[in-house]
Amino acid sequence: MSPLWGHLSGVITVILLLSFIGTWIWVWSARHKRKYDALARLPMDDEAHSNANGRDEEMHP
Amino acid sequence: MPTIETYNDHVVRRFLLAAAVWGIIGMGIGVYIAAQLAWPALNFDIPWLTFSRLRPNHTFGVIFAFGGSALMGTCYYIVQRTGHTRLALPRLANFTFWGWQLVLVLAMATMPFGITQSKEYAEPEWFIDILTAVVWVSFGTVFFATLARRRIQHIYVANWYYGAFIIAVGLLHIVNNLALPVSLFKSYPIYSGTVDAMVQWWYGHNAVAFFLTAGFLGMMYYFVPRQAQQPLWSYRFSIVNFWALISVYMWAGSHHLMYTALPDWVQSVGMAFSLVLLMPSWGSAANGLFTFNGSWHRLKTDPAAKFMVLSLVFYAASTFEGSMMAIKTVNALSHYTDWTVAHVHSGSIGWVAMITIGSLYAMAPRALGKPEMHSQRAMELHFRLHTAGLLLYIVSMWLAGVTEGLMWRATSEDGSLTYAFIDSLVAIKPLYMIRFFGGVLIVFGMVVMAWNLWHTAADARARLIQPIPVPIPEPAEHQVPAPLPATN
Repeated sequence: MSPLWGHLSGVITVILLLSFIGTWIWVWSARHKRKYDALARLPMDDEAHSNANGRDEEMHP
Repeated sequence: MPTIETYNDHVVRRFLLAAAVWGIIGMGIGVYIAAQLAWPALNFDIPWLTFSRLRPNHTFGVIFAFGGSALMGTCYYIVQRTGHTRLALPRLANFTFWGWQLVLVLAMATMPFGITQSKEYAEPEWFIDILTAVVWVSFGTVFFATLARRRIQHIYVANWYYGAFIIAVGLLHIVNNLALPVSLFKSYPIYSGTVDAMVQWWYGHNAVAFFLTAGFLGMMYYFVPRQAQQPLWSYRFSIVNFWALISVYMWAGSHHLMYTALPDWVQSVGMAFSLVLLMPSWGSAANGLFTFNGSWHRLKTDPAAKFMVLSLVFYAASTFEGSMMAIKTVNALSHYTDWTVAHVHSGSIGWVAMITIGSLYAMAPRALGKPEMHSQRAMELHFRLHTAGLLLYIVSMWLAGVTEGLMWRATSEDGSLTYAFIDSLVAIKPLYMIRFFGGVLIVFGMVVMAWNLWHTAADARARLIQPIPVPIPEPAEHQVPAPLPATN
């Protein structure tokens, strides 16, 4: 087997590792915080609301 | 004034009913064939009543009929609530219900009579496979069309899991079932030999990954915060776990083929990916459990929350067990024994059935226009029956599995096998009886749930309930997308 395969699999491993670490950094960036906090509360809406107001308005486009 | 848009819970209620009925049928068949293993005379020498012919009906009945109906129903419920929009394409949504039920009935009516491809979890013949593919693509169309008209910009994490479930299961189903029909009831797969085995277990394992895991995680990520009345513990962590889970799971299927003709390096790849899988599996289980922080007192009064918490514990336990069993040396002991059966049932009765039952109890009153389930005590009874049955089942099968594994590989000093196969069978017979008894408790619990749902649905049957309005934000003029008229 050509030694190139070893380099290729190494490169792919590094790319996958970087994208994994990148995902952590991306989701923890401060700009998502408000949106994610609001989304984490979204399932709790179902019980009692009659109309959405206040807390989830920033999620609407 | 724009018309008031309401949620389409009509199709959700149908799937709810179907899940309750199929649960009893699928698990009831399981109990019957479990009884045959303890008392073989119970097949009455009728070919289509034997374990071999009915086992696919049990797996199909529980995975695709009970699980599938619950997944499609909760998916339609959740995609509307997390998008603040009415379900798109209502006629197609109704078709997915009737089409899916037709697939299930056709499969269950043909498999016991030998009309089968003999591929595990993909037994139905080609004409049923084509219908399945049509229904599945329709399901995906309804789901993604509903997402396309959502009013909440970000797609909630439960929908990512449902989306992955729909896309991956469609891909797996079509690729694994590619076959050349030679008559109405007989086809031959286009793969052969080791390639056929690898494609089959790529399918089989990812049916576990994307049907029995990703789909039910979608259910979990919505109904756990809702029932705990706590925000999801970490929304960020749920995103990391989503991408990790779907990138890793696809490559783990070869652990089903350890010590076979499959190339050794492919077996090792499956083992390595199976070990990495522990991280996203435990990540989601932890996220669900930590969501209950501050709400643990609810467990005293809310059986639905109890089902959810125990399901997450069993999700963590069975994924840990699965990763361990993928290690070649452990697999050498566990493979082909009842340990595998214990593992798959700790996943299916523990994780899948319990998250489903918890979610159905959470969703049913809302979808059926009631403040709560008809009987709190019946839910409590169901929880106790299910938990007791589950523990009897898996403990007996663990013991049986290890007993078999040890007896099969024991050798005498001259190198011959210490035990004949019949010796191991005699040794585990009492455990097969305990397993049967555990199964009886679980089916009885499902009957209690169906009774409870039937009474909770009294108003819905009498057409007394009002559809629930979609919370559309102000200003209401010139909305994009415009409200859908409330017709079915």
